[in-house]
Amino acid sequence: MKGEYTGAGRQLLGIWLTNACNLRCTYCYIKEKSDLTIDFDKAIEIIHSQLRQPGGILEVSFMGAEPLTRFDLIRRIVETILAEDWPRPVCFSAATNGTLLTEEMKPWLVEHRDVLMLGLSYDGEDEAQDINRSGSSAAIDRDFFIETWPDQMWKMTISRDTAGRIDRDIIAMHERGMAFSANAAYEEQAWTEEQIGGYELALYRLARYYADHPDVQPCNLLYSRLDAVICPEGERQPCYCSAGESFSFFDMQGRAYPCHMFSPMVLPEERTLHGQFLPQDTDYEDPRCSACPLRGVCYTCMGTNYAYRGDLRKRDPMHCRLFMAQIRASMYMMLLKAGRKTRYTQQDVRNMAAIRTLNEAFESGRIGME
Amino acid sequence: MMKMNFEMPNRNPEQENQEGSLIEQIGEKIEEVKSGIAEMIEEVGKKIEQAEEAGDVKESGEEKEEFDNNGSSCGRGHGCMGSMWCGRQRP
Repeated sequence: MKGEYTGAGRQLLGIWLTNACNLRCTYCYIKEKSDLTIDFDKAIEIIHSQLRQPGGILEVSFMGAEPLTRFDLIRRIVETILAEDWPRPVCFSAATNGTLLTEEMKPWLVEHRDVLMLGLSYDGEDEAQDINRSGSSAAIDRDFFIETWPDQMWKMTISRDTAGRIDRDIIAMHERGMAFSANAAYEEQAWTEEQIGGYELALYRLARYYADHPDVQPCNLLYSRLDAVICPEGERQPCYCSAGESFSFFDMQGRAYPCHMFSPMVLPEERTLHGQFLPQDTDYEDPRCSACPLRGVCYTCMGTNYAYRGDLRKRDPMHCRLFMAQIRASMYMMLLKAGRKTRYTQQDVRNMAAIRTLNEAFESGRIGME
Repeated sequence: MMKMNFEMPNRNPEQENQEGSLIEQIGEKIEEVKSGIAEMIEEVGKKIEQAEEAGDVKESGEEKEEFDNNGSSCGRGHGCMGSMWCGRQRP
């Protein structure tokens, strides 16, 4: 990182680097792939404009289809910015499919690993990676990513085609020793009933794995603190998103958006939402969810709500089904774990009370969208 | 309680309307889990209640607490940089 980091006022600046990508992942949400790339001067102008403003650390994220298609540009931008002194600290990041990494890039990336973090998208076992991501597993030097950025989470995407095998894929990620975040791509593809059911069965197998391996920290799909998932009565769904607040996004023309989901990279031009807004105090609760006890933790992406359903608040019922399966699997996991214990803590007591409440809510149909 | 089987039912190439049948079988398995959970609530709940009555429940924090690793703060991750930005230990 360049400059002194105090942790206060962190700002994320997304810059769309390029429309180019060498893969055709099954769940890709980008509207159009092409060789279009941001102009060097435009990228520098955007970064300068943000670096001159007061604030905490500025993290510049090179976004795109595949940022490493333009490694030359990344390198030039990073070196240009680092060559000057700025009133605030700066660092860089990019998510990559990893397939275009070459031996020539590696020394520079290692040298700059404290200022530029690359996060790998990898979908579990090699077989899942090949199903979802254009047969790319053999082209990725996973060890380089593990060794160079050991604390950087990998992104694991679950597609409808790999939904029924996520236990294997998640266990493979644990066995590699990587931190990762697993997320389902349900809006880009319609899942069949079989795939939804297969996902739920795989979650139960995963829950059993965690109960059998108590030293493995459950991944983000399963909850260990079940008392924390129940939303107190009268409380609204919180706004989790930082788009337009600590995050802003610029396209290749230098136009600003709250995030890329509102930009022409994803939407037709006439539907884009310009500006760096999304007020955090606005009520984003979907009225269909107001009675659901899970509304406090049930996440949503306002960008996809807008992109796929034309309304910032309108959530996807499909997500609701997948999330309920995750909660049921979490209940199963915690019951298995508690059943094997010989001594209990107050947290076990709270979890048990929460499991009873959740089970009653499931049975009475109070969980989910109205 | 019975050992539950979470494996996907096999496709039978000779069976007609196998998709409908598969969905039915998956549905049956999930229903089995739901009743299994209800059964476990009774069993485990009783054990915890007994421990409480005996004053044998430790204060939280005396042993390693379960904690959540929920990745990105919006939870979506796909379609945003969630796990890059929200879920990692930042510099």
